[in-house]
This record gives sequence, C-alpha cells and structure tokens, in this order.
Amino acid sequence: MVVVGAGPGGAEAALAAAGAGARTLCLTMSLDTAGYHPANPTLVGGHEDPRGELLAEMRSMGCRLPPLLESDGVAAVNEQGRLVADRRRLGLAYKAAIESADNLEFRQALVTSLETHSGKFLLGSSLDESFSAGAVVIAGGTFFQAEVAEGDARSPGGRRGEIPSVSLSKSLQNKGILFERIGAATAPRLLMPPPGGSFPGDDWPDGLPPDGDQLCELYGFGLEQSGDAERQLSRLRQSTGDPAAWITRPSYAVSHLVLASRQVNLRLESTALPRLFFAGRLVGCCNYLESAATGFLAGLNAAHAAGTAAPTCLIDDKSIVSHLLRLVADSESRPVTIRVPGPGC
Amino acid sequence: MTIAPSTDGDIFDVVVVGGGHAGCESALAAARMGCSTLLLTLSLEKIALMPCNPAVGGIGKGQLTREIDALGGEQGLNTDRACIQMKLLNTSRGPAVRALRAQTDKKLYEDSMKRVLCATENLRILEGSAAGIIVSRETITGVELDDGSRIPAKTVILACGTFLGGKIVVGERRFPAGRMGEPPATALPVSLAESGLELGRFQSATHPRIDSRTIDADRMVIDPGDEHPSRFSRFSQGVLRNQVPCFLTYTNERTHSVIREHLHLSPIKTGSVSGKGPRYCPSIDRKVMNFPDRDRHPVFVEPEGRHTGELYLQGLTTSLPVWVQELVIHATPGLEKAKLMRPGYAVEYDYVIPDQLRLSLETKRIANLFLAGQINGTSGYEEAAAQGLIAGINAARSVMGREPFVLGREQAYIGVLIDDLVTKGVDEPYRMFTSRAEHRLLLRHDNAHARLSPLGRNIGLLPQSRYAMVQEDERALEDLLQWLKSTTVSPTPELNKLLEKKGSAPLTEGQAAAQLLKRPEVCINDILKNIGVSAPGNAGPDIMARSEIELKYAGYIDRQRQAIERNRRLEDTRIPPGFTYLDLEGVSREARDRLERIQPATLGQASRISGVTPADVSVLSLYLKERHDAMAD
Repeated sequence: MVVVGAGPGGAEAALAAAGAGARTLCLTMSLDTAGYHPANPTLVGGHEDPRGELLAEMRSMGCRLPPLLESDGVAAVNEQGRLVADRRRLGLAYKAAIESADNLEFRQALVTSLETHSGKFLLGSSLDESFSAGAVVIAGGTFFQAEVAEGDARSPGGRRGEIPSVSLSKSLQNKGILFERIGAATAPRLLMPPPGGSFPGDDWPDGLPPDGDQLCELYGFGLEQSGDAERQLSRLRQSTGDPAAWITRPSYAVSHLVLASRQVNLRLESTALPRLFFAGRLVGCCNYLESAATGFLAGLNAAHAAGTAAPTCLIDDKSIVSHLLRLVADSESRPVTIRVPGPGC
Repeated sequence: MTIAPSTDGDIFDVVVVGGGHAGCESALAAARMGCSTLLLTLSLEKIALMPCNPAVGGIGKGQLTREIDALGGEQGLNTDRACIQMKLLNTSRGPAVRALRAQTDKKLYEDSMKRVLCATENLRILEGSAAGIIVSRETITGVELDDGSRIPAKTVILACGTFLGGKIVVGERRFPAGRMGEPPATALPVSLAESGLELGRFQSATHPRIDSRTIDADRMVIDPGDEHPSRFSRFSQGVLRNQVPCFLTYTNERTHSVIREHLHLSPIKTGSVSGKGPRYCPSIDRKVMNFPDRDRHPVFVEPEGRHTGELYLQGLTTSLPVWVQELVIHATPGLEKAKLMRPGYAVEYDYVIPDQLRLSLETKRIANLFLAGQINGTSGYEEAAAQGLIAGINAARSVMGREPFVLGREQAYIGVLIDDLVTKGVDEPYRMFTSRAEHRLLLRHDNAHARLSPLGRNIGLLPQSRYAMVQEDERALEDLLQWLKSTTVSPTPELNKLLEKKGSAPLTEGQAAAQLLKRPEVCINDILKNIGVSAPGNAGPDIMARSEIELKYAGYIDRQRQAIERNRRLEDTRIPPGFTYLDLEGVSREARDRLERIQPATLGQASRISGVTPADVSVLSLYLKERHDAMAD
C-alpha cells in the first residue's frame, strides 16, 4: 500500500502499516519535513489537558509517537504535566524510524493523480513516476490547493516556502470526494529574550514554550495575527514595551482544502472510494497528537483492507480516540478537536 | 514603521539575503566585526542546507575552507562539528595539491550552524522573502519583502543561491522551483535587472539518493576514512571517532549502453535545459556523451548522516527521466537492487554576471550592494562560503568607513577565486581547482593560518585567543626549523643503512639536519630516531610536517616568491578609480571595451582581462606613468 504524506499522520500510517506486515511505500514531497509540523510544540498543555489521555491511549494502541517522545532531547515534561517537543528533533526521529522500518520504503515524490484500475490504485507524480497499491492513505496536511497569506501578499503554498499540492486534490474531486476550504493561522516565533530578561508588560501570556534548541526561539502561542512583518514587529514592541523585541518568523495564514463532513467513516475510509483512507489535517484534525492518532488508525485499517492480517485495534467506546473518530466522521464543522478550541488549535 | 534592530531609530548596518553557505559566513563576519546585522532567508529550517554533496572540501575547495578558518570564518569549525569521515587527499603527491575532504552529517551541519547564528551578538534572523532591492541615487538603501515590508540598511549582501528565476528540469518536465518542493524567487531577479544588473543563466544538476539498506556493499570498495583523521579548523577541539564509511563503485559498459539508449530523453541532449552546465561536475549523461572512450566512471556512494538511510550517489548527477535514472542505477555494479529515495534533477537559475563586481564583491553600479555565492556564477559550498566571508567583511568595513579588504592571487585561493570571477567573468559554473592558482606552492593547506590569520586579526574578525594559537604554532615552527638547522646529524652506520634502504646516498660526514631533510626520501622521524632525541618541546605532528615541507620545497618556494616580486610592480600599480579608457589610444577597441567594463584596480588585474594583450598593458602602463608625472609637476 501507499501512504501519501509524511507529517505526523502519514508517518504514523506508514509505520503502522509496515508494522502490520503490509509492503508499504511512503511518498512525500519532501523527505526533509518528515514528521514535521509548524504548529504548537506544546503537545500536552498540562495534567488537565485531554491530550495527555490521548497520548496514553496512543501508547497502548502502539503508536510510534509516545516512544519517540522519550528519545534523547526530543521532548520535555514539567511538573504541571506540560509536554513540549523539539519539533526538529521529533521530525528527525520520525524520519530515522521510517528509514529503518522493515517493509517500508520512503521516497520523495509529489503525487499528482490517483486513478483506479482493476481493483488497484495507480498514483502518478509530477516527474511522471507511477506507483500502484491495493490501499492508499492520504495525509496531505495543509497542502491541498493551499495558499499562504502574508500581509496582503498571497502565494501558493502549504507552508511558507513550500509548494502546495494541487493536482492530487483535483483528481480526488473528480472521483466524487468533497472538500471544503478552511484556514489556519500560524503563530509567530519570537526571539528568546536574553537570559535573565523577560518580556515586560502585564498582558504577556505566561510561559511561551521554547521552540526547539536551534535558533533561540519561543513559540508565540496566542499571538497569531494578520498583517505584514513590519506591522507585526511594531505591535509586538508596543505590547511588550521592549523596543528590541524581535520576531524571527512572522505569523501567516494558510488557506487550504480539507475533506467536507461525512467523507470518511469511523474507520477513516473514504465513503466514496473503498480502500482509500484519510488522516490528519485532511480529516479536520487540529493538533499533532490528533493527526498522529488518526494516521496510525488509518494505516492499520488500510493494511487490513490491502489484505494483510493486521491485528485489529480495539477501541473503547468511551476512549478519547473513539470520541475523536466520531467527531471526524460525523461532525459538520471543520476543524474538529478534542480540546476546547483555542487560537491556532 | 520599518524592520529595524529596535525602535531607537537605528537601521541595520548589514542585511544579508539568503541563509545558505555564503549568507551564513556574511552574517557572522559582519556581526562579529560589530555591525548590527540581519540574516533574511526564505526558510529558517533550511539554514546552511547542503542541497547536493554531503561533503566539504576536496582538491582546491579544501584550501578555501582552510583559508576561511584562518581568517575567522565558520565553515571549517562547523564542518568539524558535523564531520562523520575525514580524508587527507593526495598524500602521495606534493603538498601544493594536498587537501582535506570531510563527509558530514547534513542535519547536524545545519543545526550546528543555526546554534552559532543564534549565539552571535548583533545578529538577528528573519524568515521572509525579498521581492526587491531599494536603491536611491545609485546606492543601496534597503530590501523590500514580498509582503510589502521594508528593511532599511546601510549595506546589503545578496546570497540567493539558485533561487533566482529557478526552474527544475527532469526529462520532459519543467517547472518553476528554487529547489525541489520550494518555490523560486521571481520578483527579485526582476528588481535586479531593473537596477541595471546583467543576469546570465546557468544550470546545475543534483544526484539521486538511494536507500542504504538496498546496496550490495560487498561489490564495492569501502573507504573508511583516514586512520588518524585531521580537523579542518585549527581551533576545533577533540578527535573524530566512529567514522562512517563511504563506498566506491564504477559504471561499466552496461551502464553506459543504458544511458546511450536513453540519451534522446536527456534534457541536455534535447536542449530543453537552457543555461550552461558545469564542465567539471557534469551529469552522467554529459560524461557518457563527451567521453565515449572512457569505459568506466567512478560513483562514490556517500552517507548523508549518521542517523539517516539516505545515500548520495556522487558521479551520477542527471536530469534524465526518473524511470531511466532507476535503470541506470540498477545497471551499476553494487546498485542492482538500490531503491531510489530522491531522484536527481537539474535546476536552471539566473546568476549575476560577476564582472560587474569589484574585487571587494561590491557591485560597481550600486554602492554598498554586495553579492556572494552561487548568485555570482560559482558552484560549491566552499566557493560560496569564501565569497560570503569577504562580502561580509567588506560590508562591515564599508559601514566603518574603511578601505575594502582584498586578497591577492599570491595570498590566497580566495584571492584567486574573486580575481577570476570579477576579472574574467564565467561561462560555466565556476569551481576551484589547484591548477587555477599559479602560486599554489605558496597557498597550501598547511600554511593557511600562517598566511591569513594575521590579516584576520588585523581586521578584527579573528579573536585574539585564536590568533594566539596561530602565533604559538609559528613560534614552534620557527624553533623547530632553527633546531634542525643547528643540529648536526652524524654519519652513523645505522643512519646510512636506513638511507640505503630508502635509496638515498650515505652520509660521509656530519651534516645539519635541515640539510639532510631536503632529500625527498628522508623524513623527520628518520632523523629524530638517529639523533635519539625528540624535537623541541611544543612541536606536534602538524608542525613537524610543516617543517619538512618548508625545507624540502625551499628552492621552489623561493623561486615562486621571486616571481611574485618580479610581478609586484605590475600587480601593485594602481589604476585610479573612475579612470576612463575611452580616450586610450594604441589599444584595440575590444581591449578598451573590456577595460571600461571591468574597471580593474591594478595593472596586474588589467593584464588578466581576456582581450587585453601584454602590449595593451604596456600602453596603459606608459599612459598612467605620464599622467602621474604630469600631475607631479
């Protein structure tokens, strides 16, 4: 089978499918962004955060994320139960896991078409490659017919500096799969204040998480805004009272397609095309854990559909995962999340 | 409301556009010299990315990296941090062509550089896309972003790599891109052209990556790296352990016939790729076309890091359709079952014709605008980093009101590189070779710090603590040379037996050690064993190796120094800035046009311009002398 996309959804799907014995090919437009996400590095907010429970369920299901979070330097948990991941290290850990898994091939390709032929799927790429599969998982993230908005400027892109995926979604639309457009605002990254200093000002959100250990950045959770870089910098300096405050990555918005409601069932299988599964942002997920969890399940289910004797993953009706799946399958609104919706999910 | 270091009203002294190998050196140099600096780049994740080769160094290039280290740049240090294998090349040949080559862990290289950038004072980093340069009265005043934001600046360095007008070409497919998956910069080249800069078009191809689990290592030659691996930087600590092996295989007749069968699909053959490609790193399609008599071409299989399964296939650059790439790979011994992870592809891009630059890398047309790296028509991380360092230094010096820092051809490979670019221009992507340096015997890997660290210290880039280490080395070398000159080696039977074994004439009487060392077959350890004494206190193996080189090649080195002296008059005769050649009589129209375009700084540089003959230089020399005498009167 083939998994399209190698973010948290695609990576979990690929590892789950290969682990279940399916000969799996994971295709992504960029090997370098495997396991990567540009969103909040705070994966669990605290002891009260339902994502903590979700993570525990993911561990018992056998997802790859929980053990990866325990590898050296990848994540840190504080006394309040807040779990912050180093996004770069987590991405590289996923990449290493995919590259060393049995039954799993990893390849850079921009998938541009999906056709069916004699009960199999045929996927085409922008470089005229062709791949065939018994089942497919698509975890395309924020890339489908996506556009980045920075100030008044618009450019095609799934993230800043990365091209969108256009043709594949059109191919799926041609097969009767329905999409709708939603947006996401990314938080800015701020330069960490010098040691001992902190941002002055009363209304400063407490404890912005560090964003990795490479570029001295803080993740500006709650500070998403529109406007060009100049304006954002000016506002930051005003609101913090620090004339030298600095934004390393200005906030921007991405508008992109996700599956409309009722396009997948509780197994994350397309209601239009059997043996085609979806996961992650495409099914409306809001955060990293949700994407990874749905990816894992989609991968297992696809492996099953492709004919392997995959162990069925029994999900308790009262579990968070079950709640998430019901939201994905039944909810009319997009995105969906197990959390109380907040800025930037 | 603009983007500035603070709301105090200051603007950035230096804005660097592009966070690749040139951009990082520029930003670090300028910031370390005290300028408020901004590094602007499309993606902070991709800072210091190595899009092609996982290696730094090699013949010619390694010398550049050493020189960068000697001056206070970062590439040598960062390479050591990320190094997974080290080799000293050409050890069996003369010291003039010896160079280091390091295989690196790409992700570690990127992350290490990021940490250095963020720990550097005076340096800010911003993720964003430059849409254009802002020029007022032929002077740069800043950069404008895609989103309309403006960044005022006193100086700007453009280090945009292959992103200007980039297009990827694979087989029949052709689409805009800076690199695979990344959009090109389309507004910036338009802005540059509108400002009067002339652009050319080049293309470069990258190599496929394959899965390390799918190669047949037994059918390939294993290269484990040096037994006693060296370090690029004089200032690195620690020893490299646990080196990762590379592999070597060769294409054969079967591989070549597969390529020939499908050549009609190569965009190079069909001409679908426009822009000159590099002659010295040609794609395998081009190699098979141009060298039909070669029955094999080497393919180096290089790991891209410690924790990744990706292997880089050096020697198999191509823009053939992906299915043909797979056929070619599978027809290469050891790679029959190799699975492709990333296909190779060609990228076409705009570059700025470099003869529009001064030796300081400032453009002639727009004051305080500097260009560095592939944007100037070079290829390679080392060539880019060297230019980045010089551009950063000179942008800083311009801010400080100081004269530009220019290295001569007799001082450094960096000098050769920049002189070649701005004096001769390029007609294909320029890469450094030792043969480009006429004074290569003096410009060696081993003496880079002796040559350049004093200069690095003088300009305030190399910290005193590091300069002190270099001074210590020079003292140790001097001590060792003195000791060798004043120590007599006696003609003992053991020594003569050793000499005979090595095919060298026996000693009949006592001789100074330095004299005996001049013999090519004799090495310093032979002498030390014979004397029964170890070398003076602080001479480590590097110093001992250098003393051997100095003594053995003394004659050649002296001759080369004399040649430089003889040419000094020509080299040092300055041509006043703004000198016009239009009234110069007695030279060809072509020479006049070329001189007018290049605006050489010295007679020496003038003599290297293509189309300018020695006779033209004589005429110019006389003219300058007459003018000088007239002004003196």
